[in-house]
Amino acid sequence: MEKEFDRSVSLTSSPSQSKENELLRISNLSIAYESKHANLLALDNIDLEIGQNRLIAVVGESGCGKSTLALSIIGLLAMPPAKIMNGKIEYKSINLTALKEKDRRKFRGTEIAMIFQEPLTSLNPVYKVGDQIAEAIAVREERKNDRSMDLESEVMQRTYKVNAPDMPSRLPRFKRGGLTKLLRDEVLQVLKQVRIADAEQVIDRYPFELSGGMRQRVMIAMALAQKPALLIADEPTTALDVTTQAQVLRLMKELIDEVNTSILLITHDLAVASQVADRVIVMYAGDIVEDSDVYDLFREPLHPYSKGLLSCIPVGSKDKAKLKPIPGSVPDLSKPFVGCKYASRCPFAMEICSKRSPRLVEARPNHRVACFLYSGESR
Amino acid sequence: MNTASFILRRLFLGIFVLLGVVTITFILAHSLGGNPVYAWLGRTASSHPQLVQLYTEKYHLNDPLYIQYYYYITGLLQGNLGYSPAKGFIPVSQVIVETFPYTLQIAFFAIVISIVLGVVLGVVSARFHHGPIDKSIRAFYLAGISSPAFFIALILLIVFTYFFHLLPTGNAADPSLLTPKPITYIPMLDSIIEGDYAYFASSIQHVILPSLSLALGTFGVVVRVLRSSMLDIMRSNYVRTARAKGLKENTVFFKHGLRNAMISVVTLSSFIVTWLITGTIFVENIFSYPGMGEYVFTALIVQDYPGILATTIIFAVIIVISNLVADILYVVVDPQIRLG
Repeated sequence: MEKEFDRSVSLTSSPSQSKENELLRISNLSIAYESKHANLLALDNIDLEIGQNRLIAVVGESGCGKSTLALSIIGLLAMPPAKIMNGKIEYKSINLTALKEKDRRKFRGTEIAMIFQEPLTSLNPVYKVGDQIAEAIAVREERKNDRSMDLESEVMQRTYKVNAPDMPSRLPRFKRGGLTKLLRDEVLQVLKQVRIADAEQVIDRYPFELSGGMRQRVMIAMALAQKPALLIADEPTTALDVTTQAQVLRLMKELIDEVNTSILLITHDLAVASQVADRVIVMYAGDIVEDSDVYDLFREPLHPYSKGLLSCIPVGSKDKAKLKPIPGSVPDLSKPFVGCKYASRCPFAMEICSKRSPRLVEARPNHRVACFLYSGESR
Repeated sequence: MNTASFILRRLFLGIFVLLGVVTITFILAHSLGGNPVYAWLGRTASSHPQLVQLYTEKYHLNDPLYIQYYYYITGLLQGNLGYSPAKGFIPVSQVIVETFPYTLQIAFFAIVISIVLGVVLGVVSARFHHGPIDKSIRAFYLAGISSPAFFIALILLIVFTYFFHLLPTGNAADPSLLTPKPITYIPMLDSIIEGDYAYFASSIQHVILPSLSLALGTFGVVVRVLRSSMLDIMRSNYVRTARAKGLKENTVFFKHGLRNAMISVVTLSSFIVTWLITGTIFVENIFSYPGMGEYVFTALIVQDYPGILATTIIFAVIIVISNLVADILYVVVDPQIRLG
């Protein structure tokens, strides 16, 4: 184990390299799903960095690699069939892809947490909501006390900031008769933090007794109870109705500073991204095609795909028939591909687009785009 | 609705189930045709026609079926199960009290073995699925499921009794030992209560082979159901949530996975009880175990319909009760289910 850590240290952690408030850096990440017949390239050399206390939205249509990206960051990608072809995921300068599962696990929950698309099925049906949140808190407390966490490696020590000075550092336990008073109080507090008014009742409910919106709040509460530095939310509002969606989104936005976390919001819905995100990353067929501040993106989308996406948002004007779908479809990712993956659907396609694939370049300040229209290479 | 009133209501409904069972069995048993007295008396019937006459009248065999049914039901309500022609016209209830506890012993051990073995192997199989352990467990249970109980019984007899002389066969315990005084009427239980450990040890030795040969044929169903439901659950969203919390894989597996998978085992358990309790009939005959199985056989052959009816009623009562227990267990394991 020790050696494993040491290697990751020597590989990655020269403090001068990483920026002051950088939390996560993904470089050159390629992930493929392998099968007997074909390898499907779900992520194609992704570069991405996430700062602290930010809400970053990853937008793209189904199958563009959003969820693969999310699951690879938290380390829940089923491998096989998935395989990391190349690249690194560095969290606080520790290369997660080099860690063994046993150490990888120690980042889940308390460092990187995740909530999922289906609040209806994401909570265990046989345990009370309060017990499930308490379990998350127990994991956090256990790690705080776990000597092996910081004993072996200086890296772990550096990573493992003590998150909850207000909690006495002893291990909360599951008791047959229910939760200890201390643990119950903290669960109540977390439930109130996600704006559940009748926390006293909800704590003793089973998931099936709660509405979808409530369950998603419970999921958020459970994730936040572990005080993670990064919360990945994979389509958290897709299964909810519009008013509930707005409430949950606002909650997540408010919680960023309240609990000191960054959120990576995965969504297919540009409208959702525009409501809450600081920064939007647009993905297409396993590539990041545009990465920009939310205002810049909506004021002036650069990539033709982003332009197409924006024109697909209904604006509630009189000419209701004028929704413009993007013609064509995504290329087959199981075959080796030359050129820009969007070229076949792109109204601005040039000769170069089918010959080389564009690199992500900074076309405007803090606004990166992968398109030959802006790279200066076309002329 | 609380548990007590649920149980009472189910027991009340159970009475109607039993009434249905009695009626149907009564009609079936009496439509075998011919005067059963000839079967009862055997060779004596031809030499003593007045005896035939006597028994026919005594048991109302010339009356219409509904009159006979009336006599049987009124007897039943007074706790009278009739008299057994197959056992020299002693009360059927006496035969039952003497033999049924032994059947219960076999069935109990068969149920325990098949569920424990099934759950343990199912868990191991799911935990290491697609590995060599999983494959050997699957081969083992498939062999068990595919073999009829009497075949397994014969193999066990040949191996353990004939070749290795490890376990005895015939009787419920060593015949040189005295059967303990009836307190609960279940000899094994009585021997513990009375401190007769020699008898207890001997009866355990005698019960292993019959119950094992029953269990080996059924535990595979538990393995199969548990394994597949476990594999499904380990791919479910809430297991993914548990992993995202940073729980250890073993905690995820046992606390979040197995707890949910046990719901399907509970569903199965009432079927297993039914299969095993009826399976005792064959196994007892193979091992000459003094349970009810031998009586069921002779009763069928000599048209001892009080016996046929009584044994059927007992099986029906057990099935009704085991279903009730399964329903109550359901509520314990699955909070989404409420009694009512």
